[in-house]
Amino acid sequence: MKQFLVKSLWFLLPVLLFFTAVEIYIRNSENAFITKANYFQKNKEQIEVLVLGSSHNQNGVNPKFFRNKTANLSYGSQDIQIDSALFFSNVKQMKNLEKVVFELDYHRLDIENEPTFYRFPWYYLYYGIEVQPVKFVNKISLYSSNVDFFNNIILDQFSSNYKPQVINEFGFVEANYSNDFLDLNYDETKIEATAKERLKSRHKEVSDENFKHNVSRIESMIAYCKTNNIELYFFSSPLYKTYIENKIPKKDQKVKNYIQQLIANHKIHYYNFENTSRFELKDFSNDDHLNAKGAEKYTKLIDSIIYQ
Amino acid sequence: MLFNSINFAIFLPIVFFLYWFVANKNYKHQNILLLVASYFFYACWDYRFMFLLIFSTLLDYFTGLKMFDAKTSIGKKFWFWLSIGVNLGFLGFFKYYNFFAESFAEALANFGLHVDVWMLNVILPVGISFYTFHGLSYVIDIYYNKIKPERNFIDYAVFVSFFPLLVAGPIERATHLLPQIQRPRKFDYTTAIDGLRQILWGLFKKIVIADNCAEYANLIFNDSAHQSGSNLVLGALFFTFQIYCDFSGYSDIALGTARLFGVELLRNFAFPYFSRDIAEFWRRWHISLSTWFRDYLYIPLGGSKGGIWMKVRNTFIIFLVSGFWHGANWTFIAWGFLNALYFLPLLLANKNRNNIGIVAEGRMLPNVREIFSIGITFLLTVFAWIFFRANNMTHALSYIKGIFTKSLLSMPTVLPYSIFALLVFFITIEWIGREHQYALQRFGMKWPKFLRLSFYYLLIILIFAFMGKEQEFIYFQF
Repeated sequence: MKQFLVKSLWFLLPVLLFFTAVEIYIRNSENAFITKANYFQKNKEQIEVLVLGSSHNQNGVNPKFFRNKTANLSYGSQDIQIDSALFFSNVKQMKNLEKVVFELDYHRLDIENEPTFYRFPWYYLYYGIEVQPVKFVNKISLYSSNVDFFNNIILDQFSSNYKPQVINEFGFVEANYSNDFLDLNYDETKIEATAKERLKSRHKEVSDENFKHNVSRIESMIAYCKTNNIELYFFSSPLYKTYIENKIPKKDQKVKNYIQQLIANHKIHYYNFENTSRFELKDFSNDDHLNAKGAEKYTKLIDSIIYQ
Repeated sequence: MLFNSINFAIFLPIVFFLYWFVANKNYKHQNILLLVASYFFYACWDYRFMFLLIFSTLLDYFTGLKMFDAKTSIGKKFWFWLSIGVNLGFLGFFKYYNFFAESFAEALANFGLHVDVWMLNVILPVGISFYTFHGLSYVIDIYYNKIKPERNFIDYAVFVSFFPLLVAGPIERATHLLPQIQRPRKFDYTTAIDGLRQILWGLFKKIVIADNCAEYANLIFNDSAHQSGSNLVLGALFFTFQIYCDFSGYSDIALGTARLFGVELLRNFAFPYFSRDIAEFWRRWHISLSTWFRDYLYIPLGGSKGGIWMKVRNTFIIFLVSGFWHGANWTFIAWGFLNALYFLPLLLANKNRNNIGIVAEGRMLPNVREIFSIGITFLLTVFAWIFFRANNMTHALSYIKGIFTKSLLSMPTVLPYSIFALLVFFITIEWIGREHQYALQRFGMKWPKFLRLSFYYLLIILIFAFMGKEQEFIYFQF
């Protein structure tokens, strides 16, 4: 037995070292999620504006352009249950919080991440929130939350044509070297011709149950903000026309009706920039995401609205 | 808890440590530990179905004792049929209710009668087909006086639920596994190292080969209407390797894990794709199920003792039942039927036991005749897997129709060269290792130690490189 244990451990030692090295590497390599989380944890008490939402706000709102201290906690595929968990788990410690900017886009009300969503462990590790039960192993290892994802990132980083993203201190990606529209040379004809194929399964989820849950989460946030004198602003992000043309009309109408109802019942601040001439093709990185240039415009616009 | 998950990589060393260092004074303590670990392992899937596993275990344990102690043959028969009825009843309810209800409604609809059948939202309890067959073999063996019932409940419960085989086999026999549970196990260095090597090979098969092939098989099968004939052939080939590496990979991990605890399980696969005819294929594919059907269905039906028609009838019955065992879908029945058809000429010509030994034994390469017969058998198998993988009969038939079009001769558009390279690597090792229990068992044993260890690390690197998709094992659904 002793021989077996000693030999097995010697054999497994390089594997364990490899695992540990990978874990240390990914925890220390620069990425938007961790940078943003670290900025937030460090400055939580001074934050005056909190931005919540999905990738639309993640790519569209650069805290650098707000006049006051802002944290943008929006991430790709972040749903309203995570927004709500981030808000309620931190709001009491955010003593200077005055305003919340909330992304109320067409796709958000009908979605709710599956319990197996690979980023739940990340939120646990960096924000201490357990929206869905996180496996023990994922609590101790970031790598184990999505081995495939991290393998691809590591392999990419070691490839010869790798260009690192430029991430600012707020965790906002200011330079990204690949996106759909850039790949099509911002050729409007090509972008329009390929839109149907590109958007055939984008944001097509329709779920009354998720809708109901998300409505209740939003209403809890509204109620909390009202009682605690926090101003809550709802925005619909700028979208390129191809995305708007490929929306499901019935779903779109359902969301619009709900927003009307919100305005009527709660007198909320709501601003719709979905279809505005302020943004041109070159402000977008794809059909529904702004690029850094577009983000600068959009952020300044939000800033001027909330401080008007 | 999947064998290819990090959770299992934590669970296994903990149980191993407790087994050999804490509970090692008395094998009965080890059995209690194995039972607790097995129930925990099962509860990780779905704790709600624990009651079913425990109920099934209790049922067979008590009916086994009652049968043995029965004073009259009527009493013995009563307990026997009670156990068979309840076991098959549970299996039928969870696995086949919706299929029968739907088929019944469709049959009535053919006569113009439209009925609303009650469809149930039934979740299939993982491993039910496997542990039910464990229990059935135990009860049948007692009924035919082949074994005596086990009086120690813990020992019997470990036999049914030993975690390496609990959810996808091999389907063990009381005569083989129970004696190992009833006596102290001694740690053997060579066996344990061999077990680890078998686990490594199983993980490689599952994570590197099966999961990668699955990606392309799914891509092609899910969009078969728009694929060329040549792509469809590739899709069937990918599935052929997927199902083999998925299931035999699972079996390797199960056997290797059991060896770490000093337990030998039944071999489940013996390089089936190197078979020279279908009869040989079925002696090498899912061996524990094939022999189960042979012993508990084919032989009781009369086996090969009667005339030729009796043989043909019995052969068709076991293939159809075997197909149905895999799932409540006509595609599985068609798959079983097709295999019975393949088997028929061999049976009629009395050539079903022609290829008993290992192909090209003692030689590096097969001869032309062997290559030809392996090739034909392989193609027949690939063809049959189309039914197994298809969503329904219409899908299977349109898939086959899609193959036999002009586009069969076109260049496939799905060409993952890295997967092809991995398949060549895999088949080569399987071929070299075909005379052993599993391909890696003696592979590289004559190499310098440094080289052999480097080869194992290469496998580990490949496993890590492809890890993460954590696809479930196909046979968990059966």
